[in-house]
Amino acid sequence: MSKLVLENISLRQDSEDVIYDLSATFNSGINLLIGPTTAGKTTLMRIMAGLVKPSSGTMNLGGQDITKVSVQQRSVSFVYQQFINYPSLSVFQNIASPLLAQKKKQSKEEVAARVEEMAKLLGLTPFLKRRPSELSGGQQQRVAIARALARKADVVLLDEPLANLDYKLREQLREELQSIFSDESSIVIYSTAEPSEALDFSTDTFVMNEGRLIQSGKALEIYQKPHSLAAAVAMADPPINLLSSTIDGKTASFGKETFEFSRPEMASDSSREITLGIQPGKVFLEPKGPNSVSFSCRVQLAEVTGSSTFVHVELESGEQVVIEIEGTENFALDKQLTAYFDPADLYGFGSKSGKTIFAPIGRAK
Amino acid sequence: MAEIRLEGVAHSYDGGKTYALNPITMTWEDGRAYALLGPSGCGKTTLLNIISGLLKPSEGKVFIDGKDVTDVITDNRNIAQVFQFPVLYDTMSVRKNLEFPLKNRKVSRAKITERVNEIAELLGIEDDLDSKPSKLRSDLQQIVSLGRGLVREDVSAILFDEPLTVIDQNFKWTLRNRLKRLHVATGVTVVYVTHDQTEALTFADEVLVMNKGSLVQAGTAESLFLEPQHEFVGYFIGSPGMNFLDVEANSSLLTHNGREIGKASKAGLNGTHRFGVRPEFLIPSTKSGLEFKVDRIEDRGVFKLVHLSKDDFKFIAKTEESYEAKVGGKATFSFDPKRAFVYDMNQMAVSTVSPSSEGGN
Amino acid sequence: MDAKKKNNKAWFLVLPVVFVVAFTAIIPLMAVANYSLQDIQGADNRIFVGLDFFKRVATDPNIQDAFARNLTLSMQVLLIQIPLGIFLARLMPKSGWKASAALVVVAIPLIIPWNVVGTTWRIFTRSDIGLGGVLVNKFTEYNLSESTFDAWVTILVMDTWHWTPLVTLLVYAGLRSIPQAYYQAAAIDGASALAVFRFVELPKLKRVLMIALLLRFMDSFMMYTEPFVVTGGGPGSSTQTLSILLTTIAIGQFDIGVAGAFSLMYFLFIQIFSFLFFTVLTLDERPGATKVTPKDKRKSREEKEEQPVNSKLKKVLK
Repeated sequence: MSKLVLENISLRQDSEDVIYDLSATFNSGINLLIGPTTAGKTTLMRIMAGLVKPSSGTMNLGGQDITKVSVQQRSVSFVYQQFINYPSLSVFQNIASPLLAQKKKQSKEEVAARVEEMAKLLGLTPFLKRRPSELSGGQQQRVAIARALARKADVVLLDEPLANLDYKLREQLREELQSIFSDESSIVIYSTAEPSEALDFSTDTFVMNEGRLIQSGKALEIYQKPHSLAAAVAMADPPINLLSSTIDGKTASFGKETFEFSRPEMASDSSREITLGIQPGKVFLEPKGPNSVSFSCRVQLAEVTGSSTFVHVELESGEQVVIEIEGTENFALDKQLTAYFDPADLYGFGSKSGKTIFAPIGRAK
Repeated sequence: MAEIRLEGVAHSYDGGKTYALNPITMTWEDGRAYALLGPSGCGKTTLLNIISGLLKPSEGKVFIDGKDVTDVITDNRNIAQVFQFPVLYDTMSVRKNLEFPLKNRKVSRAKITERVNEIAELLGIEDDLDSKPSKLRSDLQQIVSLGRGLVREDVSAILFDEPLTVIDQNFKWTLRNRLKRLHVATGVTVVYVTHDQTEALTFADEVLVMNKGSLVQAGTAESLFLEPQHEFVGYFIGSPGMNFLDVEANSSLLTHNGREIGKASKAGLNGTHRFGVRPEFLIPSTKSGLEFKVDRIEDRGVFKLVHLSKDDFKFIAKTEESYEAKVGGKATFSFDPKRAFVYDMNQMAVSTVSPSSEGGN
Repeated sequence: MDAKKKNNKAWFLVLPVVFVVAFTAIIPLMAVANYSLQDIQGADNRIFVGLDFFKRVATDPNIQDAFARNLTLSMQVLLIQIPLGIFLARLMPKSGWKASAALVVVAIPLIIPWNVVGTTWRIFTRSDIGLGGVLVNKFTEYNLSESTFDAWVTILVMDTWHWTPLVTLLVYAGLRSIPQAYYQAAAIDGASALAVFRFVELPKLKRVLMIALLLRFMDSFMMYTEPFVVTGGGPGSSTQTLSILLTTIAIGQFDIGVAGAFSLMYFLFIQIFSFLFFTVLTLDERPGATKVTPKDKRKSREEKEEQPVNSKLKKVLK
């Protein structure tokens, strides 16, 4: 099994640092690259493809240094967000194109066999004779994926490939992609801006923010134990609630509330400003357990999704919190509520650094 | 503010050979928020363009506040529309963009300034009034696009055509509830087109699910979720969608390959039907229910998706985070009798289903 | 190694082009430069005169006249053809077979060889047997070979007929790439047709218009064939463009030194003018100057994220 190893990759463009000192190891199978739109995911993928030369750092594939290798020489496939196919070629010819462009020519039968294999894998067999423009968006993207997989490249890069598709189609294709890639031995790097996709794949995840790699690990791990506020935000959908708070060794306060709170990480006695974080799903409208902390708030908006309701409330301090409750409930605007949470479910982030000081207890897995 | 009524409105782009929109008759009440939800090509954008007047329907009539506006051009329908990407006049400042619709309607200078300031404050963009719109973030650009619609006091409805398409993931959430709050504050009728169920369900008072040019079911988010009248609604709404299984009904007893699944509450049901139950309503049971093999468990943080298989079919169950089961082992699930349905050959719900009372089937 | 072989093969493909360009452009250009710096009377008789010829060109009244004349001609060409081209492009059908037919009709003047254009117009404008000439004479006095005004107008009309289609086609392509949503939004905003043109179409046509402007300027400043065939530069020197004058000096008078210097200065002027022109028009799109840099983007992004959205909406709900 080969690995793609990046060491201290950085990129300067227009005298600005775009990628900072990034090191990562990608194993075969699916690797997820997640982060906001401006994080630099596409730029990093272009570097890995060889379309852009890094300003410094090295790239190693299966032990070989490929930093200076041109893109045509690399064993790389790329799938874009915008369903890119050759418009004047049929689906068959599209899938066959990377095979025909190779140095070592394969026989017509070998090419046809591989194309048919890929078509079957992606459900495209009835469409082989059509042009991409005659297919739906989902089908076009499948053609692009088939074309990317046809040549059994060592590295397959997918840049938010499902972003332009219906959400239901996205669900379906994600499942298909997981089973497709489970058989292939390529190193697949899949980028997305949607946290739910990361949890869906539940595989090795790399979180990027503003050109840096800020955390890597299994998706669920990062979700439960983010190292920083940026990582928590990148992995949270709906967004995590943040409250500014003051903590000393024994109590914590936010808004007008103060409660007993101590964590080994906050052992010092001096009081400190931190940012508390709590997931919408961990705020309730009834006390949960003996340690529940309550706060009063006012309803601003209730959003019903059918399976759950998101209640947007405002605290007296003006801060806003989103509460996710199961099932459907309607709330009158401006209604006063008391909300509860268990301090064990709190995250703590440094108010300036954004680094995680503590995470919810009981998440050790 | 206005009531919009459609009578037999249908549209074909190729002179009657195929219909992008099948005949639809309905009334849109003043001040409510509606969502048109459906996959690509279901006809939702066609319907939206017919309401706004950008498209004349090949059949049927459109009424706004009782007046027949089928032949009235967009200009005079008092409709505002927000598109998939911010549509702004690049050469004008934000302020001038907002003034534009009023200037074209020859409103007095004083009134224009007053109104623009009012709307800018409502939208929270009064500090950006003198910037060029291209310098703003994409979600604020959409807000300016929306502002051009709100600035006209005679606007009867605002139509949104997948407005969050180009918005950064981080800001989708905030823009969405900002739009909702604006709707609540202004009380204008809103029609919102999207293919994203979360957007539709959280935003609208009433959701119209569309597929292949037809309206499949209209209702509140709750009713669509809890009581899908059509298989498509069960499939399209919910992530993941409803679990379906072909069953044979014999005097309302439902079986699959001879195995008893449950009993339909409607008497005298016979023949081939489909059984449907949402992952959320498959309940782990210790006593009675269907016994499955656990193929895979996905931990999603706040909930778990349990992939189950039995004989020749697979189901997915959505459970609490605390649910534990051994992968490869067996697990028994029952279902909520109010939340399991039987669908006939037309994909319409005909009955609810109670689980069998015997244990470990 | 494989890599090296590939590279070499590519160079072989380029070689023929290199030879052609060398013979038709580079070597002649070098020869011209050579002539401009030396007074060559014969094969052995050459004197290096430095910038003498250049000075003579710059101070020659004939050349100065032709320069002013050509500049005026180019300005008039731009003033007429750009708006006319835009006007015609907006009239053309947007899709279907009518659009294809319109494109073909509009393109016809462009594909006629230039000297054929000249010859056609020369006959067309003759006051005795030309269709146009005779027709115009019914209303006013019209004689190409005697009136400088008539000659000048004729050149303008001919050039407009010949080259406006280029502007039309460019603008037409530009218009087609404007998303429907902008027209729809303008309709919803109640914008008049003029407002749509001013606020939706013109801004989106900016790049295309720049190309059209640049091309038409360069071509009209180098205009040779058509005026030469129709008026020969006359009457007198009223339609004598710079290139016609240049040819007269080089081939008619065989004043190669002056011609060489003239050529080089002519060439440089067009290059510099085009460069300046393009730079000024794209000032607001250059990175650095007025555009937001990534650092600014990051800073302003942070500022934007702090925008107190929620406090404003508080007011909304009270």
